[in-house]
Amino acid sequence: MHLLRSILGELPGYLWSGWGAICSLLLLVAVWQLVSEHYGSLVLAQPLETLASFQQLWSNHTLPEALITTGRRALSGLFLALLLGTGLGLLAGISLTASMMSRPLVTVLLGMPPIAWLVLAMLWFGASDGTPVFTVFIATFPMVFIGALQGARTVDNQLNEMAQAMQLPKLMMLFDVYLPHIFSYLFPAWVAALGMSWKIVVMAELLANQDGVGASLAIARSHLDSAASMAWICAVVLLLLGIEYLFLEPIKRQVERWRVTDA
Amino acid sequence: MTHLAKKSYLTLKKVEHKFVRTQVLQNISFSLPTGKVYALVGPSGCGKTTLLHLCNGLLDLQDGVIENTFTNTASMFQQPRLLPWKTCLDNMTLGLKAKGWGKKDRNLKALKLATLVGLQPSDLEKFPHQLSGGMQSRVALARALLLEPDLLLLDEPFSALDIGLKTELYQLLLEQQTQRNLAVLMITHDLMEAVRLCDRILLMNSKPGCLAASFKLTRPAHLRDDAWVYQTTAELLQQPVVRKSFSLPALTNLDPVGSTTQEWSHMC
Repeated sequence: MHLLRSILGELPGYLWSGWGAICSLLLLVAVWQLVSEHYGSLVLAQPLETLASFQQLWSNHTLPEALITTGRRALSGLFLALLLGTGLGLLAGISLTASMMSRPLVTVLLGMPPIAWLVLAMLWFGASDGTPVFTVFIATFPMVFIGALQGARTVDNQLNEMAQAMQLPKLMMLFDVYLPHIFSYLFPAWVAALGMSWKIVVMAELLANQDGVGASLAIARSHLDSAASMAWICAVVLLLLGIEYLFLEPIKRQVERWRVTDA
Repeated sequence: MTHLAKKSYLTLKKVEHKFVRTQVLQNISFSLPTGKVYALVGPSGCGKTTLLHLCNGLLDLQDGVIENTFTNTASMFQQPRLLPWKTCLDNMTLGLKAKGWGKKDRNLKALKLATLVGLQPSDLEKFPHQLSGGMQSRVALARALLLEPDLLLLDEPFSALDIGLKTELYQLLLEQQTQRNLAVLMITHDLMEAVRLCDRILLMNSKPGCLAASFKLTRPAHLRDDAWVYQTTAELLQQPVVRKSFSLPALTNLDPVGSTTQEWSHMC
């Protein structure tokens, strides 16, 4: 509750600081305009054509429906990864043996390109929801796992001693000493996983599915419809920007207020 | 008053400690009663911190007896050790929270003490990283005092501060010590600090850590002026046992400082 009030209190100032970001994004749109004028609309649709296509896709409900389908897949894969990655990562972090054993495994998982997993997933799950969900899960799991592992391994022994000398009860040790520290590692990992999941799900759908943003992008490409392609791409990027800056960033600022150094 | 003021003791008898196979502490015995300030003085690595950790229960006792009849023991460490994600107020009241105090009560108590140790109410809302080292140490001191301890174990809590701040904080601590009749066991490697503050100085040798000598300072702490502190420190530094403990070279001049005060006595 306190957190919510604090977030709302700082929101106007935060939004106002967004003008700079909007300016640089508009500059990018200007460059886009120049490039498309130079190469022609078939290669790169003009921003206004893209906007028209976007409006049309929005009004005939193709876009919102596809976004919901894609979002559902991304979030289910991500949710699984957060749950298992956090749980297993913390467990591995508690035991030295487990963390030493799991490190190389996770490095292998991290190094494996998502497209390779996608090929396997297509063999296993075909054109069902399983393919994008699995690919998202397997690509984001190691990031979350490493974050949780690091968090659990680096708990400050000095603070631990202090808490022991103060005879803090077990529950307070958990909530006042361990969890805030672990969360400071976990939260960035979660945010990174969210961004990753959104990119992976579009890629998986493009190759494996009949519906969703990725599939629609594939259809637009096969029709050589540059305006629609750009419209889909813009939808994906705008949604991610929105989540990142309107939702996650304000939370992060509040949760990690204690880390900010006023230099 | 008198019938309530029962004497408590922290008594160590033949305490020994080993890390794997290295003997760290050997045959340590002393007894610290209510209202006295004892200093453990010795070179770095002589096992002072280990001894203190045995007293506050952070290490398990291997050999010997430690008897602590004080009801409330509080510790301060070399660093302030504040939780970085909690405001100073929440850091100060951590011990009270552990004892199940309500938020209102513990904040009220903390506010009263905060002014005594020189913290402004505006500082209390800040996070530790927003405060200077001296302020952080004040918070740590307040955190220890809030528990109303009758025994305070100090592991050079102000060693990272400049000499002015250090003196100020020790003054604060001593005021509280006399008011509350605290027993204090403090570690220091600064002999002058020990001479200024303590009733008794326990000198330790290293490898393995053992008590080499015990000096009893007879002048009451509030009557010790700078001249007396310098003189007494110099006198102690002439003692062969002190020079040996800190591996100081032998004296070239046989008696550089005349032993004029002699308000201390050498035992064991």
